[in-house]
Amino acid sequence: MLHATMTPMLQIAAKPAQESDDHRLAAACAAGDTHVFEEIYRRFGDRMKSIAWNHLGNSSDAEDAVQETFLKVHRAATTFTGEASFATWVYRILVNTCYDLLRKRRRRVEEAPLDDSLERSGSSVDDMKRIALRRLLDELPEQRRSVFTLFEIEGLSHAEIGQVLGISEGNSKWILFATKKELQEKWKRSQ
Amino acid sequence: MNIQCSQLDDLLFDASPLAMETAARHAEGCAGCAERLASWNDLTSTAQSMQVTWNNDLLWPRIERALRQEQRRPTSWLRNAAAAAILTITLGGTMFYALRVQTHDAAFDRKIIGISALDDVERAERAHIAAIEKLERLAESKLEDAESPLLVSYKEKLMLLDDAIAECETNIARNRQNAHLRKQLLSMYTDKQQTLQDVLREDTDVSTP
Amino acid sequence: MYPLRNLLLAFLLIVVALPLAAEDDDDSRFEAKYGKNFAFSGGRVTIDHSFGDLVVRTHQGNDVQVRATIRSSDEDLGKAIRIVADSGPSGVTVTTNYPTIRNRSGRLSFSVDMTVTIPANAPVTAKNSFGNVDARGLQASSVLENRQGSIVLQDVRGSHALSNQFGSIDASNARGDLTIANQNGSIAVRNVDGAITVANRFGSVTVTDVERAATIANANGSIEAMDIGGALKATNAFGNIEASTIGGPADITTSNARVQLSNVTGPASVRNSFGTVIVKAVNGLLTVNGDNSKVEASDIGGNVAINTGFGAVTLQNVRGAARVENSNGNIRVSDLSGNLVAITRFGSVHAERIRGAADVESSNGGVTLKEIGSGAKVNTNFGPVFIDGVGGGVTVENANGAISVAGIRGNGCHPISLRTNFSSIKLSLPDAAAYTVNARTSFGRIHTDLPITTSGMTENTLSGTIGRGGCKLDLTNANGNITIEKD
Repeated sequence: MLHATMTPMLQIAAKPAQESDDHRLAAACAAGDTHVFEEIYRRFGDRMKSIAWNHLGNSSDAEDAVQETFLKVHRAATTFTGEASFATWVYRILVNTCYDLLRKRRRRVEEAPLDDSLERSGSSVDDMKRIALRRLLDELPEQRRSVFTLFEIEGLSHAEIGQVLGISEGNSKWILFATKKELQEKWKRSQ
Repeated sequence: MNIQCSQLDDLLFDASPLAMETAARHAEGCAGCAERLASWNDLTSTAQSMQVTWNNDLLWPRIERALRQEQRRPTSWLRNAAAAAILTITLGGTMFYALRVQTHDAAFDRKIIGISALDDVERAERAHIAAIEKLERLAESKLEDAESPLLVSYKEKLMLLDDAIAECETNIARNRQNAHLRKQLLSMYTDKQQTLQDVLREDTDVSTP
Repeated sequence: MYPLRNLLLAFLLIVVALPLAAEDDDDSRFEAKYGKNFAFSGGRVTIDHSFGDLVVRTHQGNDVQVRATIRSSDEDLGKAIRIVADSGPSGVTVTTNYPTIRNRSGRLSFSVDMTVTIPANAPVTAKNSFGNVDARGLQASSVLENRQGSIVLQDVRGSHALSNQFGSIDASNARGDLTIANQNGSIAVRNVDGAITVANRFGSVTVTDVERAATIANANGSIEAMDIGGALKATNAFGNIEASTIGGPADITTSNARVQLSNVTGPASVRNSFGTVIVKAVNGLLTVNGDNSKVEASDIGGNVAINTGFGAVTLQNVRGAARVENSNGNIRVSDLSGNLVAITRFGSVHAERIRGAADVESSNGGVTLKEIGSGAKVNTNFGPVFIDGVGGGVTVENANGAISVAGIRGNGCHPISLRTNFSSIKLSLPDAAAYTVNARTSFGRIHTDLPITTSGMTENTLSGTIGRGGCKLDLTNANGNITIEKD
């Protein structure tokens, strides 16, 4: 199966309607509007959990990271400038929160296929392959792991990844390629 | 488009639908590249299946509770402060009206420092000067005998800093409360302190960074 | 209740103390506004300002609008500060004039913030000192100079020259070329649709997203350059250089600092001394001259030439030939599609998966070669030589070091000549080997697992043929054994 270029789930160059929606969300977060936080949770929560899980390796730490991110969004909402989309801005806070948690805790990696409550996309792919790839991702430095996770697993575009990680789009593309090449060698040996 | 095996990497880097199509077509006729492309795509498809989600009905209520607690803290402070203010005004009514009420133009204060604030600034400057003098005494011999290119460079930087500090101080003598001048001077003192510390840390033997 | 009581007590204390502190400031304040418009009929807008911030903006109108806020601790002084502006065929000039101050009391202070709004296509020269400069929206060329304050330039077209001392420079979103010089202040450049020339001393330089070429010089400050569309030339001393995603050739020079270079379309040349050099993904030739520098290079799309000393060299995945010279440092090379020449003293050489030939010179260091596509030639002293997997002839000259050769592959004659002293020689040959053998040693034994049709044999010499013979096999040792085995 070829890796088709992912259609970004979010528009980077936010159209005017999206821009005003983003600012509405930010303003409401700054004001502490709980309904808006719930809206954000419904719209972006699944992806936030997935990103956090793929960084931290277990659902408990991932939920902690998501909760902490909501608190940080509330505190920092007045600093949202609209340069990136609101969702990308939230994901940036989430990824940094995951990094902080990783530094504080030992990474407890669940052998997740045993967890029936986890739903997966593409269930036809071998669980052993996922475990093997997860182990390889664990060995990568933070930034490389994040670029790979955000692009290949979560389907963000390089422009979005650039805004989440504070790197250029070109760098994101090159880091992904170099990471995949490195993983490919190890992947071949593990299969 | 016909490609060479050595171009496969370029196509994988590009990763556009056209590039992947070109790679796939080339792989049809090249066993080595077919193997590489297959493992590349295998890696990609495995990754795409790793997006996870799970249901936890308790997560959103937990987040909501945390947000409410977060919001409660400043509000309760404001409430207590407002209550205290009302009580104070009631109790100290006469004293309150005897006080002189000064209105401060915040924008003015950002440009021209008030006299009382200036005392704090000058105290901070004196602390910097004392620290710098101490560091200068320690670094004196090292700088006088500076032979390595790095130490010579530090010496030059310190000379430039001294000239700039002197210029700033001359202007402060005629414009004492100008906030920008004070900020600039403090910044240069900090830079000079840091540079002297770098000089003291520098080994006379060269080491590889 | 408890915290509320404490808060109330604190409030009462403050209220009591306030009258006592009432005599804290006898600040006097003077503030005046200046505002005037001047017709612009061509030429240049020239601004000379100091002791306050200068903001330059543009509009679609034809006039130059000057607005200023004069602040002073003394009314007379404030009134004596003048904004002098003039309009004529050569343009509009604006100057801030301060009276001479004999500051007896030390209490006279002043500051003037100015905003000048100019026609969008008016060129401008602005100078400031002891204040910041912020210019946005300029559509014609500009010259901005400052001292002891920052410069911000944003959203502009045309060529612009910025210079500063003891203040930062931040330039972004420019459609045109930029020339930037600073001393003891940082420089940050982002998103330029043109070429840039940057020079700094004692301050960092960060450059990202430049459409065309970038020329950067610094001393004692770092350089970071990313996403440069054209060539990059970066020169530094005592400052690290980090560059990635360069759309043309890269020319990097520094000393006593670290160089990290990646993703270069085009050849790359790096010069460093006493600092590490790391290069990844260069789509062309790579040349590294590192004096006492550790060098790591990988994913190079052309030939490589590395020259250094006292630092290890690691080179991998090269689509071309490589020449590596390292005195006093190890050399490690893998996955080379061309020939390898490796020269070192006091360092070991380890090379594997070399598609071409390997030519190694070392003294005082071991040599290990694996999977060499063509021939292998090694010259060393005081170090063992291990060769496993070679597709051509093998020549090893050693002294005081063992020699082990195995994995001779390929069809045809691959002459072998191995020589050493005071150590052993071990050679593994395939079953189908066909060699004319000349082996001699002194104070050692000659042992062979392969059948040899001997034409002459003494205690220390052996000559004859293995298989059909024909291909030359010379094994010479002194004070050491010679062993020929089956591979």
